[in-house]
Amino acid sequence: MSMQNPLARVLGAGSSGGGSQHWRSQRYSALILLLLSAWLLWLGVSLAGADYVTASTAMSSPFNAGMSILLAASMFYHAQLGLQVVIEDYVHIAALEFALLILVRFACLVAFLISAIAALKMVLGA
Amino acid sequence: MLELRLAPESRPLKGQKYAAAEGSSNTRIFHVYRWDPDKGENPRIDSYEIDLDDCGPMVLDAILKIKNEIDPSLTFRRSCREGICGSCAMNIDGTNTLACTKPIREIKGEVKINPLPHLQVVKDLVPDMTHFYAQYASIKPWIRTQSVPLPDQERLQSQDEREKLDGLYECILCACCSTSCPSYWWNGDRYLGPAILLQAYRWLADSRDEDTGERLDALDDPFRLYRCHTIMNCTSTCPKGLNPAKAIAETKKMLLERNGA
Repeated sequence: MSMQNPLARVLGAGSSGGGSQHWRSQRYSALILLLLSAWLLWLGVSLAGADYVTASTAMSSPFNAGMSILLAASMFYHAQLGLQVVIEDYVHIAALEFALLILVRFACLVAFLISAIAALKMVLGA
Repeated sequence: MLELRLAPESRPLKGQKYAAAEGSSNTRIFHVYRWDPDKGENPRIDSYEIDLDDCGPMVLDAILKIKNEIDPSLTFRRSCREGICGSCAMNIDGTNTLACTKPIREIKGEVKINPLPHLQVVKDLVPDMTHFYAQYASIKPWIRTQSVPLPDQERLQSQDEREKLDGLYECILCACCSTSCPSYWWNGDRYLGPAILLQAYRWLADSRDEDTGERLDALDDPFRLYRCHTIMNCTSTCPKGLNPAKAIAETKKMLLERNGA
């Protein structure tokens, strides 16, 4: 039961001013992913049937390593942005929503770091 | 959390059946959602068999026939009966539309009539529009200017500028689009919904308005505007043939252009 004026309820805490930035990042990261997918496809085709040494040599070139790190970055950034929208859409228990949003950010960051370190390891040959 | 089923007390039960008068050949059954707040019972679906030879062509005609001849307690809103007032918006045959402009012959088989989805029901086919109207008020849907108009002249607009309002000014705020939008169902408390966003864009597109910046500021919010995920139910359901999804896309474009890449 609330006796609050309906307009006051709609106006709430006002506009956060951050919507367009998120929307833009989502579009841009999707665009980058599209381009990088083409590179990944090309790499996959060119390495089809190759043995382990050829493949690991290809992956240790600075260009391919750089592209894989970029791919991991844009992929997990895009995943985080998308999952954030899903959580905001469907999870309406405030505490759970906050916890999940932080968890998703953390998980995507960890996943990116693991991928990036793996790619670096190929280049540096550690 | 997202609720997959209606609460037990909101689930419609089977209601009463009313047969058409004997000797009528061209009949159609209308299943109508009924709920009376004073009775403390579950909603029910009453079934009315209507003789179409003795009934007007539109769904509203059938509903009026039910109220006049069978069950005067049936409650619904209607006024203009020509698609300009927006009162008789309801869910007919699974789609939100205006009962007065929906021909019965366009519907195959039995006709299901429910109130607009995901709004509180006041009684039968009458939903509570309070929140929807408050959202409309929140966008300040009137011309906002800073310049002083010339004393002997209106605020002028070229033909090209006026044409930008076509497809926007026709909106009658019937709420068919907003209540067809899943995003509005789940987050309608904060998401403005297609109808209100189309109205907001109607003022953004108006060359005479001088408060575009403030209007964009008010919309630049993850919930108010960006809960639109281009599901497009709004555009496919609009009984006036308008395109709220495009108005929302244009608003997003304006924000993008304002921010720069």
